[in-house]
Amino acid sequence: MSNAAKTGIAIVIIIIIIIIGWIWYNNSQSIPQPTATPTTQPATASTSTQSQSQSPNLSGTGMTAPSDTSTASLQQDMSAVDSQMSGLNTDSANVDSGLSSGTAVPVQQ
Amino acid sequence: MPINIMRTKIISAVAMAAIASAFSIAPVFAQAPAARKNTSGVTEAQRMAVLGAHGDKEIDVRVQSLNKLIARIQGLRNISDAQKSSIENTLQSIVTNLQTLKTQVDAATSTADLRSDDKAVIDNYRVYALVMPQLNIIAASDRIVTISQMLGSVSQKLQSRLSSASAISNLSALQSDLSDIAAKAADAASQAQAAVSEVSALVPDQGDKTKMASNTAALKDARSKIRAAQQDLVAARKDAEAIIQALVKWDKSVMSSSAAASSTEAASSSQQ
Repeated sequence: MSNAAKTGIAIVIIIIIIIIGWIWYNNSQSIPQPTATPTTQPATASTSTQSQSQSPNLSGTGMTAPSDTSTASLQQDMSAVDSQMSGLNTDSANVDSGLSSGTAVPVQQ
Repeated sequence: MPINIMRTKIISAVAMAAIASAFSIAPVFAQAPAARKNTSGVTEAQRMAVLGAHGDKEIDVRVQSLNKLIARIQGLRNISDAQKSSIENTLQSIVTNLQTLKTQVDAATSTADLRSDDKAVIDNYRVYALVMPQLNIIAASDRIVTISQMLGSVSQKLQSRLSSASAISNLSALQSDLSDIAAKAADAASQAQAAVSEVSALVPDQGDKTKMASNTAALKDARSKIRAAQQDLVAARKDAEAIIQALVKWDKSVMSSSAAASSTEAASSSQQ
């Protein structure tokens, strides 16, 4: 066998190996991975993100995360509402007081 | 929630108050003429002591009220820090003017000086009488908007819970309560907004009786809006509580049903 024939055979073998490797690689890419994200997971992740996005105006009021719909959460939220309602009673009394003191001031002497 | 509109109104109110505060000295001797009548026939020193003490007391009361209001303004949630600072500066300037006046009163050497101060301050000052109720109304409105938002958050949670409790008794009534929460919270926020709009453009009367009457009418009307909003929120809170109680009852019935089913299943298994 001539050297040219040996070289030709070697090149063919290399090409075949490359083709087999390419096919194997493509197949491995199309196989579903065991750790693939279930379809429900993005929704869960989204909910988790929402739980941290309390309105800035409500931060520090004692309100729980919007995603927490448990009874305990609702009861805590109501306590927070009650606290603000109590504050509103004070505000309202201050309005009455300020208005009374304002109207009590004589116009001229 | 048109919070931006509320912010704009508040800025306008603060600007008005700031302009007016340039003239601000409190009518601390508002009751002084009565004191002067009561003390007629006494010595100059005694009359000065009475007038001075009265002035100091009135100033102290007002400074205390203003400091409380400054603390309240710091707790507002629906305006920016810059807007808070602007309001606080306005209030602080009034406090400073009052303290200056107190120094003048303490330094007065005759009842004539005190009477002169008295007339000057009453002629020029109407800021305190306007700013106190004005900013108290804004503070109450701010709180109402916050509570409306809180009830909105609660309402969303309740909607979620009711959606997964379709077999709960009185579902339609509970859904009606839920709708009522949204309506009441929205109306409360709207009333608060209207109250802010009504008072934000007011300016001190400077002794103008017509303006004083219109200011007083506007402030009283704004106060009635605050009260209406407050009643809305009380009703909305009551609705929310009713739904929560129904859900608690529902949870218990579901749990007892589950427990009963489990025990029946266990009994059935043991018989086999």
